[in-house]
Amino acid sequence: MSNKQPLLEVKDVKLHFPIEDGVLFKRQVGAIRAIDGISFTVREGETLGIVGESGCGKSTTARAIAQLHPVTEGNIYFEGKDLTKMSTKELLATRKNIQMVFQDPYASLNPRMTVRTIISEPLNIYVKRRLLEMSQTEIENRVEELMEIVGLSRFYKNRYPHEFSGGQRQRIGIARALALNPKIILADEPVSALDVSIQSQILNLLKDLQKEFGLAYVFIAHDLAVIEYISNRVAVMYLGKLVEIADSVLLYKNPMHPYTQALMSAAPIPDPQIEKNRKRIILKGDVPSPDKERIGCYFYDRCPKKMEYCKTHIPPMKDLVKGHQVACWLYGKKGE
Amino acid sequence: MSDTTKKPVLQVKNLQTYFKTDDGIVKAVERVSFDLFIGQTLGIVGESGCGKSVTNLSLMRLIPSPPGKIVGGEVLFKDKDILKLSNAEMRSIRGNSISMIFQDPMTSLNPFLRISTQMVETIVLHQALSKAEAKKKAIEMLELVGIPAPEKRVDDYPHQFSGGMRQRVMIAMSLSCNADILIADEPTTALDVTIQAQILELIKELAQKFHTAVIMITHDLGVVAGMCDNVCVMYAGRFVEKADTDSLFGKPLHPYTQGLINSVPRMDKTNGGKLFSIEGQPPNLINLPDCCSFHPRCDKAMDICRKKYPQLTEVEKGRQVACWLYLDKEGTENE
Amino acid sequence: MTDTTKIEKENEQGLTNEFQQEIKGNSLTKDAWKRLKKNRMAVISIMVIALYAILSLAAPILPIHTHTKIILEHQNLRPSLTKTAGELLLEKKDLELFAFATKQAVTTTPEQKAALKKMQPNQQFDFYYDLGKEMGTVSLSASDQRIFDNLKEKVEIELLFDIKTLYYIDAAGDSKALNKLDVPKTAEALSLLTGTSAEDILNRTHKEANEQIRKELQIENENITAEELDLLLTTHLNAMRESVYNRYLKENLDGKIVNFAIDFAQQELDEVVKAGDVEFPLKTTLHMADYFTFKVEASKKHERIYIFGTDYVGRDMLARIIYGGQISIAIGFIGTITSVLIGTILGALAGYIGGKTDYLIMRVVDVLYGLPYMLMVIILMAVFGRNILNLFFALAIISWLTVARVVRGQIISLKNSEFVEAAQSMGASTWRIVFKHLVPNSLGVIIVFSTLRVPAFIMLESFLSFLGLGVSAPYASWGSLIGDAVEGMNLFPWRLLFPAMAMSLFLFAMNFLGDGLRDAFDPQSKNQL
Repeated sequence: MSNKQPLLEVKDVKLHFPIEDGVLFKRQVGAIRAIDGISFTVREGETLGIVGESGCGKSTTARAIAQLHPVTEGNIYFEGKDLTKMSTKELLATRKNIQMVFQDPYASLNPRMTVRTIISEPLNIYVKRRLLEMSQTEIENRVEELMEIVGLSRFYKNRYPHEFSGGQRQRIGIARALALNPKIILADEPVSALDVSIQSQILNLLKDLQKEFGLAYVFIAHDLAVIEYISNRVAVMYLGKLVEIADSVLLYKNPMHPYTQALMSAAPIPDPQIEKNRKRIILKGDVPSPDKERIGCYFYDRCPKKMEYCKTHIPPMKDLVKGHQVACWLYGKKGE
Repeated sequence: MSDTTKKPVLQVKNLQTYFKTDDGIVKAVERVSFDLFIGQTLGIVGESGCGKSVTNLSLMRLIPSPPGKIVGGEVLFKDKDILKLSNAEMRSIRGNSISMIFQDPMTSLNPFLRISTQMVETIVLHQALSKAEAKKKAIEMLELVGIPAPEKRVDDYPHQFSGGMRQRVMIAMSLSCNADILIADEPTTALDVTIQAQILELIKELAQKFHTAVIMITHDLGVVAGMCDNVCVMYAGRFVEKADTDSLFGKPLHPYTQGLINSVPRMDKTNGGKLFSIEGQPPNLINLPDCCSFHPRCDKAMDICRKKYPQLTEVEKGRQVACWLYLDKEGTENE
Repeated sequence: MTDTTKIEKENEQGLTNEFQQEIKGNSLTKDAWKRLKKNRMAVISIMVIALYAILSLAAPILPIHTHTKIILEHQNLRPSLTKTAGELLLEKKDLELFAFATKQAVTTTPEQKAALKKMQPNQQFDFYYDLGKEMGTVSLSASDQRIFDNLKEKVEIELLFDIKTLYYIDAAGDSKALNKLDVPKTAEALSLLTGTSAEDILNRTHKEANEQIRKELQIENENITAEELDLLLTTHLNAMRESVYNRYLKENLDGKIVNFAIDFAQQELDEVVKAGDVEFPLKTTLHMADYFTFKVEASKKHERIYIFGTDYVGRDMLARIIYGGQISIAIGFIGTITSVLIGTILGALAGYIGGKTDYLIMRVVDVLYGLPYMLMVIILMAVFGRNILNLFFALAIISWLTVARVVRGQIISLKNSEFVEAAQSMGASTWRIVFKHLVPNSLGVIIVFSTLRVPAFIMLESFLSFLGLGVSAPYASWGSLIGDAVEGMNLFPWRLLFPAMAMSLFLFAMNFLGDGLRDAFDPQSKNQL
């Protein structure tokens, strides 16, 4: 696996949203540090799960990769080419390979368009920009094919999204993302708005699609169990920074970062026997606001194992075991 | 359980709530019955749109009417039928004897009023306390739910609190009148895992301390497993299974319950291969025929399932299930 | 390969699911329409608006009198469903003469005198009339009786001629419609009728046209001295395009020829009518002096029925209200459409692109907002001249502002939704996102807003017409009708009442429809789950 060139490489990416002030002349008075320097790679056909609490920057990461927000610093390479430095035309051509699936199946489909229009929209855009050659009948056939692939009857193609249930809508969203035969799909909490029974349908569908088309996923979720089920590797994010990244099996067997440990112990398990005997690490307080620059560990405020040293030193990502990186001073201080 | 010998604080019998729409009648809650005992935590679990929230709004008589209407059944609270009370009597029960916390605390807190104003108002309304005493009580309650520096924060506005803190404030408000029953409608759905753990722990702790009965509405089986003594599984407006938590998770009877438990990915077990999934979508509740509403998604469906609805029947001690697999088909068919 | 479910495996029709429940396809627009149909007020409003639309569109073929026809004898006739104009005239004359006779014949008590003093003239007439009838002794004098009888005779025989098509046959024998002739040709034709030379006629017509323009200038510029007026006339004439000036000439000449034709018809038909046994309206073709043929329609002048009465120059109010409605409604709709188009495009772009574009557009809007809009319209009307097109233009220019603000707000609230992000991630262009995703989703708001804008436009136009800045005679709008009627409000209330009622009904209907639409487009409206 490791000898392959990574499909996607995110390198030291920072994304700050400026906070502006001033009545007549706007000036920047600060920044929301949504992403504050993260690096990871995704290889062809694998799933990288990103997990974290709301506001930790995981959704922004997906949007930064999709070039919906310009990054403040850093590079994003897709097949070795830097997305952040591309011309509009080049970007459009590359974008074909990077598609998104969104969280809210109700908000992510235009309520005024029929299913056919929604699924064919990416095709139509690329045909119009001469990046793809397809006749209208071919597009029509492709739409029907895509609907069959995601498990929707093609007789639904003239329906409007509000006539579908959440699960079916998410299938429409997935069909739309598949339309251009992408190599990687950025799935931003695709199942968190769905009911349990529907959630498993969608997760299975995504796994099947991966097998069939050799897709890579960046799968974002806050549910650790979902992430474990779908991912090969998992990255844990906190306050715009990665705290731990490891192969899924390794991470769940042996979480190293105190935050990962707390996260795992907080997640409820649907088994009363286990629940009764569990000892929870309950974190104090809330996630702090990401609007200031920090000089110490980002998790310092809430960490149950904090040390004096953590207060003033930002821990770097360190390889502990092969395929297991952690950013925590517990596993070796500088100079030791 | 020893609970059964005691008198229930809330008894719901054959509650029916219907909504009238342009296309037909939606039986949002159909013949729902349960008992709630002092100190008990009852979970109502089901998918969105199954009627679990409507059930509890019906208990509070907060169904928007029209289009909704409680068309039948009894809700006995301390032997009085809530559905027959006057509006004034009902108001004194709401927030005082039965209080409610919602999924999104922002919608139930008035963004223009200070927390203190809102809390004092509720306390003074239901208890014979002066304003100063009420404020003292409010601070006490805030401290109890773990808000740091409550004397200072009591005068803040709702938007100055984070999501988790707001939910704490809501809990403080609902418990400030020593409610007998706390209805928690998806109290942690909008919150993060770490915050969810805090809030659930808090509810558990306070319920024990005040001997409050809790009705926990959720779609998260993990929350049910950790919190509840008894569970009702709801599907398409009806209870399909009622049991105590241990036996429900240990040996689910209804195919829907089985499917639900199996389709949750679990991190304590390696989920080799494919996740179990219940096929299809939950039904549209408009003009639903009188058959088992789960049969199109059920892999054990029989002929009778398509013709007749199985009544909720006790099959083991303390366990009720509505499924023809466990019922006497012959007897009912001959009826 | 994937878990295609049982429920989704359906037959071609896809009509029912596992529970035999019908699955109905429904777009949001259809849904809104369904809800609108349930709103009784809105449905009635739609019908009222449709009726208005039909009436104004079909005005030329409706059996109503011409709205521009002036019959001075018929001024200020009261509305009547059964009585003809002649009967009303006689009634009026009878009342007038009889009351006058009574006034001469009786002496009034002091109380009656005091009461009379407080009365309006028409009430005084009524008072004397009633008094005379009560006494029963008063009768008309011989001369009065003669006046009355003369009028009676006149009412019976007077004809009204409507010259339909007039053809001129020139020396070569070609026949041409009068309105197709150019000015010298028309003068030539007229010369054949009058016997004077065409040159003289042209000269006189030039003079008359100048006089007419002078009069118009005088009306436009009150308080002007004669010298100034002459100066103004010269500059005005110099600046005037020839085609415009020719129109004055042509109108003048045509009028003269038509008058000849009417006179001719009168003479010809008088005999026929006197012989009796003719049915009115009488339609016939006449040949005049070998050079002209024309179709004429003769009707009894005083047999017209004015169900809504007449105005101060004897024009039929019903016709004027219908034609006035045409203009008012047109202004309402065209103004709304233009302002919504401008407002939507600018508002949507400002909202979606944001930043400097937004800042620029919205500051323009703010500045325009700051200016008093009435003043703007007045200035624009003054600069570009008073005609209907300019009125449309002026109204549209000042009223896209609110639309732009509303649309911008709507777009801003939509632009961060996930379906827009989805479109962005697919590489959709700004244009596509704005006009395929954002605007269609704000359509509900835009439609509701426009429906409520139409009455506002009509009100604005009426207001301008009322002030004398709107449409000018012979055209009418509801506003100008009301404006004209205000003068004689006490004596002739119908002149005010009917246009006001027609306008109010339309505005009500428009507002109810707007309300209905708002409920229909609002997904959170009543009776929805």
